[in-house]
Amino acid sequence: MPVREDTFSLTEPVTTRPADLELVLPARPDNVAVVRHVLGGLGEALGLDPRGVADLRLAVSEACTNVVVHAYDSPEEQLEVEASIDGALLNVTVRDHGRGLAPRTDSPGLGLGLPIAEAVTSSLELGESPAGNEVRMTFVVPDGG
Amino acid sequence: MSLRPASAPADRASPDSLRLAVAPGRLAGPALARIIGIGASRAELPVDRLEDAMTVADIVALRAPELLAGDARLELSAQMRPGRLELEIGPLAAGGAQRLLTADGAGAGGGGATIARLVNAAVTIAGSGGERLSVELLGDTDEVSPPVAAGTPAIVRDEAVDFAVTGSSHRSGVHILAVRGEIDISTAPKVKLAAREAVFAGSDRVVLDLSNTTFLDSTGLGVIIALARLLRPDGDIAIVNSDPGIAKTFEITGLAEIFTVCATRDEAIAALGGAA
Repeated sequence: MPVREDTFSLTEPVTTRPADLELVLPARPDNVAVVRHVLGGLGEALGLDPRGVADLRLAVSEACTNVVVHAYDSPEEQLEVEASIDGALLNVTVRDHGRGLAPRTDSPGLGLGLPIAEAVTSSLELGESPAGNEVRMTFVVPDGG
Repeated sequence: MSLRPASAPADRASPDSLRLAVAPGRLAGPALARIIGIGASRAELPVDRLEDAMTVADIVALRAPELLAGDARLELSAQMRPGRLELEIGPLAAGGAQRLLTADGAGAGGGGATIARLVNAAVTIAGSGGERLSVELLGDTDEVSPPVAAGTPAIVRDEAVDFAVTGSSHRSGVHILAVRGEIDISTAPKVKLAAREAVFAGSDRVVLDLSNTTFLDSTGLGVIIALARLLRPDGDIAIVNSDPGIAKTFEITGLAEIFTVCATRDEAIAALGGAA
């Protein structure tokens, strides 16, 4: 895909405004549920219907599971999640500072996680930058803005 | 309980800790309630103290935004140890920690509730960015709350940690595995273990009953696929599900075509050749 001139550089912050919500927690299996429940509550507060909330919960779970399984050797390293409302869009970024998105040869998963996440988001993109490895997802929310 | 200065900031490197920053407004209440609720569950606080923790969350969501330093986001860190939940709230304007501690909860958790009355200890932490209020809720104390009455559950388990796999044999010889709660990377190993035990005990037809399953992701799908590989070609698996979210996950991945998914347990048993 040709790089468009207005494509932002990943080395620059996209926005200087702090995220509306930011979570930092150890990249442990039981913390995936914490992110899922906080983001699910956020989706409800933004007026998402049950199906929309289910999609949000599923997508963030898959992205966070990816970090827990792939990013680090130690489960005490950090999983970071940011959520910001931009008009009718909810932007969610899941970030780690680990080994990046290269597939693990000993991966215990089926490789279905991010394809599932992509299927239930308006958009999903992956990025690696000095800020970390990111999965950036977008959801349409009724009560945004 | 009195407010005293702390000599050092809380240890942020503690492994079992959650940190949240949220813009003051409509998102703050839901986010605080979930973090503090999960924290209290994980700290294994008894039911009455969990309710106190939730009231603290309500008061913080209501009162902290007006006490924040400048236009800062509301920050909360929760640290969990067995029987003990520590919360740190900030950054607050000068005097904000004391005001938050004694602020009227405006009906949250009953009339006259204040954080000062609900917590076991509180300290104020001074910093360049503003003050922070650090409070501690203990599970086992007679000072603040009475012990949990006999016969009541010692621990409240919220949706995030309420999980069980139950195995049983149907008279037709079909093995039933029923899962209550959420199947994700944390709980899927328990489902996998129960499934393997059933197969190694001789079951070749298994009904996976997801009627009380509230979430399933790719990790859960992996367990189902692994179970099918163990059972087939001589045996088989049938799934009971009526949750639209879980159904969607099966459809996205094409697994709805590969597995038999039924609306009821009886239908699933019949699909495996057993008489309900």
